[in-house]
Amino acid sequence: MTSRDEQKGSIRDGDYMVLSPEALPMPTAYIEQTRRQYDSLGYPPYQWFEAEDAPVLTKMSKPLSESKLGLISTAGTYVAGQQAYYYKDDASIREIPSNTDMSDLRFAHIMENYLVEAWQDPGVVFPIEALRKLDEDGTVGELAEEFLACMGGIYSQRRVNEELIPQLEAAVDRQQLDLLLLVPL
Amino acid sequence: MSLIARHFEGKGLPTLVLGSAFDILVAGMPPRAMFLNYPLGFETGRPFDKSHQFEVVQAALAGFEDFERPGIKSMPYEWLAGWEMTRERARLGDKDSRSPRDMTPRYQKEEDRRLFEENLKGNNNGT
Repeated sequence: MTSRDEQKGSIRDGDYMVLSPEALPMPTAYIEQTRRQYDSLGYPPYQWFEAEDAPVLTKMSKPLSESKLGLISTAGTYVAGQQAYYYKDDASIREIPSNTDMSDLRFAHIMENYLVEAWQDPGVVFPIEALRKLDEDGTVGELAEEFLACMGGIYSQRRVNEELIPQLEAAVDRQQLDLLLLVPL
Repeated sequence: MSLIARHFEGKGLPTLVLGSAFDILVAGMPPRAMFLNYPLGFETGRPFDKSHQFEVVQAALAGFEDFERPGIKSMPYEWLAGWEMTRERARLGDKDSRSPRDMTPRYQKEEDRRLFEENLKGNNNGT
């Protein structure tokens, strides 16, 4: 049964499995929508990363309940007292202590029109409270001391590779994580 | 985000993306992705509903132990109401009313700017 389900929506010879949603509504076609909008507004086209081949899958070294979990958010999350992000290819990162109070979380992102609810309830994009609860109840072994955030709307893939990722990597390496959760906006 | 996920996974750190843009996930092929079919801006659940947010994140994390090969799985949650309202915000019309794309930090609250500048001053005083 599983193999039949996996066939559905499979895109590349079984190297990469895509299980499409069964419930309506159909997922929004964001790439096409954004291309049309930016075209009509006279903006340069935004180029999302397109993979050429299926990725490797690293095996977990221990179960979730014994693992140290980190988080990267691209929602432009910062803590009150830190510098906010700017909207022109900001490739900087912020370290968000995982014990930060929800009321001190802020967001700045070029897609600010999608942040209306996050500004009132950060839990819709930055799951800090849910993760703390999953740590307390033992689902997760341990949380990173600092969660990480950046502003995901960066046009230059060169800057993502040469500036953003090395900063994230240094911060991730310091924390000696076993698992990494990533939540895009 | 897929680029970042693939980078860390390739270095030996297992990753999981929890996202709501299906076509962007399919294009980027992250090692493990849980797709939540909600409007953008609600990747970890409906607003003002802590128990639902907890459930979504808990179910997503279970995905770490549920992939035998790389791919995207859909989560069994349905957006209840207001999807059209939230789609509306994607329509910018013929003019973009969002803040300009320049090098000015865009503080969510004006008091955040003051707090940051005070922190900066404190640090520069050699404390």
